[in-house]
Amino acid sequence: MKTDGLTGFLDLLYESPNNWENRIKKPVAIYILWSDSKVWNAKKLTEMNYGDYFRISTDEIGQEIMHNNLAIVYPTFEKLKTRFSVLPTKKVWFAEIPAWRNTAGFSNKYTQVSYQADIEPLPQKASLLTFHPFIQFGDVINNLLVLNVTKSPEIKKDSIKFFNSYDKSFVDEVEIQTNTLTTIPLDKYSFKPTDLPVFYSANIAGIPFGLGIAKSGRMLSLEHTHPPASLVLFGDRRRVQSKIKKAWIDRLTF
Amino acid sequence: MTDIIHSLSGVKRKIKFGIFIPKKITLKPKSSKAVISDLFPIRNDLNWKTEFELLNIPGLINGNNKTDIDHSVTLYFFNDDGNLLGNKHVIMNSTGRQTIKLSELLHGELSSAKTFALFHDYKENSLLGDGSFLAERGYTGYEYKNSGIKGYVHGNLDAVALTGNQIEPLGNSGIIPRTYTVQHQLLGPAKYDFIFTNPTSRVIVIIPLLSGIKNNWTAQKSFEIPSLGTRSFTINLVKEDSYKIKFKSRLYLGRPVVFRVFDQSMDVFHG
Repeated sequence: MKTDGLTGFLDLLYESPNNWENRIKKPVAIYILWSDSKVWNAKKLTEMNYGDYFRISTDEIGQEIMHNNLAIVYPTFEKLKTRFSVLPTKKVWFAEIPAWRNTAGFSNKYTQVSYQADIEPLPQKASLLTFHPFIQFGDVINNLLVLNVTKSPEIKKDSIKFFNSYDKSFVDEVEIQTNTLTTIPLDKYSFKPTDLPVFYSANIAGIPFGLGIAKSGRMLSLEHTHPPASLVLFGDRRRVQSKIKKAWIDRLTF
Repeated sequence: MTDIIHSLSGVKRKIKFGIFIPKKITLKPKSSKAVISDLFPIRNDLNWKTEFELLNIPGLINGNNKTDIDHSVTLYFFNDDGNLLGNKHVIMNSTGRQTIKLSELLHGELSSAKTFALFHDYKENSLLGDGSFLAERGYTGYEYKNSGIKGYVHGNLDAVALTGNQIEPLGNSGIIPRTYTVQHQLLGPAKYDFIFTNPTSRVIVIIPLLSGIKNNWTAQKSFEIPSLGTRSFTINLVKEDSYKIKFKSRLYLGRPVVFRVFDQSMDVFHG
């Protein structure tokens, strides 16, 4: 992931998160994949043996790859073609309890920040509704990052709408894209410490992040929000999520 | 032939699940009227401040967080041995978000609190028809050395339920030890604090294992965590140090909150 003023990095660790699922130990090829809107492109970065650690940063990746501020790193046993029309789906590093992840984040000359990253391609058409409690005040720059990856390489434009969740007032509508990391500055909206913004996109799903940058540059803050299903446990959470989204969308879009 | 291989690997997978995770990671609360919370670590000293972003979760679930009646929550505080120290009621004002500064609550009997759970007042559970429970797994913000900026991390484990005044541990553990490998290469110079909470009703022993670049795992000193207690494991790395770490325990999911402290800044994430 790339955003202005910071270097994006991904730390890969070839270690299963647990000792009982998917205990593979064969060497894997690590590819970087990126969309040019017509096809997915692939380039082999390295091979990793079991136990290896490998870091890739956006300083080492050309702008022709990072033109949408996003590239995907994919481990595989297979030799990939250089161009293909749909993202490969076969998972080599896969576990469920917990999910097999790696460390992705941003750095500058002072510090770094990270989250435990993995991504499944999102549906070509899906909605996003999320609440954002991460805006910080004082000497902090606040950005919303929206990450989208779909199986198709198409780079499609649409929008995300901002509302104040409490009084349901409309704040703004901003362009986002598929297969892109979109950075949206939030400070111009002058949200207050007691405001809870809600972000809604009717046609593009995504993973939303709050990125805080100390104006001194000496500390960064990064966390992703969760879908409404995370507000409940057990039962039919998918159905509950649909109900929550419908209730909010009805109120926000009258 | 491919179908047969797929079928066999599916059976193998189910057997492994049966051995390692015979029950669910999180137990279902005994009462259908329970509400659930994570057990959130508190860091409150000269270097650290902890805050929690309180949202009107019942309102968010019902599609409207603007309510005529003030929303109330109760925070339950525990010491590092999991003993309940007391609780505090907090009324959520007519706002979308209310930041709770833990340092303002931790006085007297609560001054040694190391974790808290936050339960929403949610009696009219419109979700019961779906068999769901309201769960607070929200965002704790940690500030290091008065930097003026918080690092956020979301709830890591669905640890406890509240029914009436009864706290019920929801974490599960088994007989066969499992390992959890933190999916992050430890890189120096930095100090790493791995904070564990024990969401089960039994004492849990955790054995940290460290490895360099080559897989040469060595066990470190183990530690015990009482039910609903918390412990941390700390490692200091110098420049050029590079390690992997995993934790062996009977927890189904022994996943810590990880703090990486370096120079005047820090990074926090769930392992």
